[in-house]
Amino acid sequence: MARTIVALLLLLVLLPSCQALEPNSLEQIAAPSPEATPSPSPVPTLTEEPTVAPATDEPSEEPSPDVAPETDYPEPETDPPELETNSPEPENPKNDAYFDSAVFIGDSVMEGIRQYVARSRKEEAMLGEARFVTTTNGLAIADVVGDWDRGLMFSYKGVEAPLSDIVSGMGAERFILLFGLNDLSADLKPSVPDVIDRYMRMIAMIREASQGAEIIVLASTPKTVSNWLPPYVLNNGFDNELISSFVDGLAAMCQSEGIGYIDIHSVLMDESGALPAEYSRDDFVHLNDAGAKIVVDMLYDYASRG
Amino acid sequence: MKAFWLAILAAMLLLPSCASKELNLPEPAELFESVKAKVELPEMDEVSGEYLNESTGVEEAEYSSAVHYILSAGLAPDEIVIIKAKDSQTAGAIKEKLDKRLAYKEKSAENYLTEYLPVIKKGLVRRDGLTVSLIVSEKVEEIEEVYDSFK
Repeated sequence: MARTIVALLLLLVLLPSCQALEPNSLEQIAAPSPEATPSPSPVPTLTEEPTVAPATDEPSEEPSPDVAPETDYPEPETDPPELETNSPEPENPKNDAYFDSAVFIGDSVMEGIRQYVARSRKEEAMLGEARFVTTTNGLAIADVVGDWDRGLMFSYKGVEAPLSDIVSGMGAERFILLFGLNDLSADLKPSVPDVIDRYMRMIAMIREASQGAEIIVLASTPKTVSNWLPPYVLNNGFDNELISSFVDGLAAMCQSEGIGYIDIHSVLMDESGALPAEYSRDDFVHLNDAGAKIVVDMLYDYASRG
Repeated sequence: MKAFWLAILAAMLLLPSCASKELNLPEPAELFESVKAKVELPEMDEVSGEYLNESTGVEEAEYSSAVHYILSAGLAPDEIVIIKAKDSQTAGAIKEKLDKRLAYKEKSAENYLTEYLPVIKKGLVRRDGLTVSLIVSEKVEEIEEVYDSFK
């Protein structure tokens, strides 16, 4: 009898282990394929010479707290002239060492830059050993500083944590930030001064957590000229007028606080004030590789200026 | 006594049938190439290394080889990670990390880029011996068929 029990126990022990050899699958939910069908954009002409705006540049006009939704969009050009290149050519060799102890932090726009860098690094050195903390969850500065309670956080190395916790363990010497559009698009009536105030509080938090590391702010990208807004954008007034107002506020903040500032906004903008379709991933605000390359070139240019 | 031998006999009959379900998967790079050869995938780029580590927390010390593919263009969440762990224990740890990665992607798409939630929900993490994979793709069923062809 005892032997039988032992044999049965042996059987029970062995059977589950053999099941572990089978592939584990999470639940699969069949769902219809989503089709994002943004309306087409015109092909704008770039006429501005690219510029990198250092922190000492004069800021633009004071930000306006009043945001008027843009209602008139430029008519698409049916026969656009040839696009001029606007990728700045760095005057100095690439200073990769400048970025070795840098950390890029940002939302989905920064994630696009990160993906471009990750792809490029398979072929060539790019931005030294810079690390990236990004997310595509629509994170706003308001989430980071606790003004909104949506439960959204960064995930870094597989761990969701408050940004201050992530930053404090990184040992970085400089942080390069790209934020703000989600504060403008996910708020029904955003106030630019409020978003600027949040930005400043986030910078103070990063500085405190990182023992005074250098901060560099990237201006936000414009959106394309299209009227189309993704379904997750709550603010129907989210347009280039609002973005420009925010960017002006950022420039003023950086100048008054002595924070490094790189004006990618004006370089990624056509004469109508919109992001050219050639630089857009989704006919909205996200950069494709061509747009990301411009940002990377501007970063190198900024680094070469010391 | 008779029952004892019957139980042993049953175990001997059952175990080989279980073992036959184990897949003999090739190395991650070769496996991905097999998938690519049989399934029409969008253009994807390989970004393993730092990108894999920052996204999942999987350390190079945990695996003998790995590939990590993301889309070449666009914002869709397609992602294929195939990792061959160094041993069974780390394979378990890697699976946990990839499970977290998939859960974070799903949570993210509930708030932003919401049009991609259905394809993320189709995503899965599977473990085949030492090989652990994260598959987020419209073609997840076809990709799994390629895996299952390695019997």
